[in-house]
Amino acid sequence: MLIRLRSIRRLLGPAPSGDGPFRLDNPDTFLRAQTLIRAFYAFLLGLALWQVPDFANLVQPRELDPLWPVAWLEAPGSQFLGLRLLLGFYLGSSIFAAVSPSGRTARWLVFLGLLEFVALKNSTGKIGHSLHLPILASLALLFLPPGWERSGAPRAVRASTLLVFGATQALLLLTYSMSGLGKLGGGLYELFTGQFHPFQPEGFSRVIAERLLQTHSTSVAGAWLIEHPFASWPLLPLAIYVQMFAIVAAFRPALHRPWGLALILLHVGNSFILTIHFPVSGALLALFLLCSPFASPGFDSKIFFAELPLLSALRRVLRTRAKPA
Amino acid sequence: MKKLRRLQFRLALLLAGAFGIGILGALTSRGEIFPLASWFLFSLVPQQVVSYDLQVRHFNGHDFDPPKPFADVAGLLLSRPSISAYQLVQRYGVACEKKDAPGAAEALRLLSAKFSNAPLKFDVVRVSYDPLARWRTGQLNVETIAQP
Repeated sequence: MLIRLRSIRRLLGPAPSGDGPFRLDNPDTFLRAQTLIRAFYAFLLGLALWQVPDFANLVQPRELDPLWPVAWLEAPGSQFLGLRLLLGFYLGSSIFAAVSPSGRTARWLVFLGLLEFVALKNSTGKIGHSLHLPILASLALLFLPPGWERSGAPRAVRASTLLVFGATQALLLLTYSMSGLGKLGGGLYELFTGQFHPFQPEGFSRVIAERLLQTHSTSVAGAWLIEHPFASWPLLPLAIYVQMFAIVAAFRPALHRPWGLALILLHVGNSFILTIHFPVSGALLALFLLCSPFASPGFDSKIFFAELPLLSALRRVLRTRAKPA
Repeated sequence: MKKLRRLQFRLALLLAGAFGIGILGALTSRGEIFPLASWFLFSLVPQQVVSYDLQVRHFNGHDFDPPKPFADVAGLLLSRPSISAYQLVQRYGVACEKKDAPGAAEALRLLSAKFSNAPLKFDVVRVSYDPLARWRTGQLNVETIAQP
């Protein structure tokens, strides 16, 4: 199994001419990861405090279509006390984890608090995804080793901490790859069955029009892009590329910052065009990718192009063919 | 080293689980096994769309002739029109068309929580349209399927 894991990592990892693999024993990288993990739990507290103004509305008994983590709220008479307990637990666990993220108990509690809260928010008939990423990140960070926060942590602890940090980045990026995979699969199906598809000029205009019609809304750039399909044309295939290969970027430190930025811009575009707002996901991308402890300082275009998914593989193939037998 | 390899294996399992359960969840009635989603968002380009709407005939002492789409009736929705309200209307419409009384009642229960309590009369309609044509000209075909 380990051999297989290694070969998957090699397949996804940096190109021979790239930035090189992860350094799991670098004390500076470890120090940056420690700070970012602390910042993540401070961010979760900020997120909870941001929700507090909505608590008065959330404690009102209402019609629920409960997701499994809050199914217990369906018990007769449980809503009055249950909703207050749930929100209190969410806020309390967020404070506890921000104060002391070193203990696994605190991290478990905030994971459960967040899971309950997001489940409650999504128990009114439709599941939204704007708060899923903090749950996934807090799930991955449960694997942090004891003593990860210590300044003079031994090498094994440093390596485990960085491995967990890298896995958290990969988990966040995996969600985008799954989204890209869905779009690519759907798009190819439409292309080969003679339907409207995402690779033609009208494709994205149709997506925008339908979304704005569904929500009876207007967006900053949506109407203009519908009427100018040649301007909107490249956006959807570009989004599919960035999303599809997000998981590859997780294994290539030189791509962490560019991919983080590209995905943040994708969210900004979604806000301006489709009125789909994912500010929390954007903030997490900034924290885990833009500030990635594995990324080298600065931007080297040569390394970037050498590691760009597809393009780097194409270069490798061309080079191999160019070599004389 | 052994511990590190064990951790590596567990983390790989987490990633594989998030992927596998996420994809499997797409086949469930809710479309996901929360919080592991398939993330298949906007996977298809809209073709000829068939969807459902509520056409309001009476709300809060006002009659509407011709009936108005629910999202255009001022004061009916407690918050501004959202994808959540749209999707509940779709669920309600599908249940009405299939004559699934419990499903329709459940969807209406959730939908009503988004509406003002004022007296309301509406038709459930099936609308079919081309998104770009509807966007540009408002052209759509409307067919009443239920009058609850």
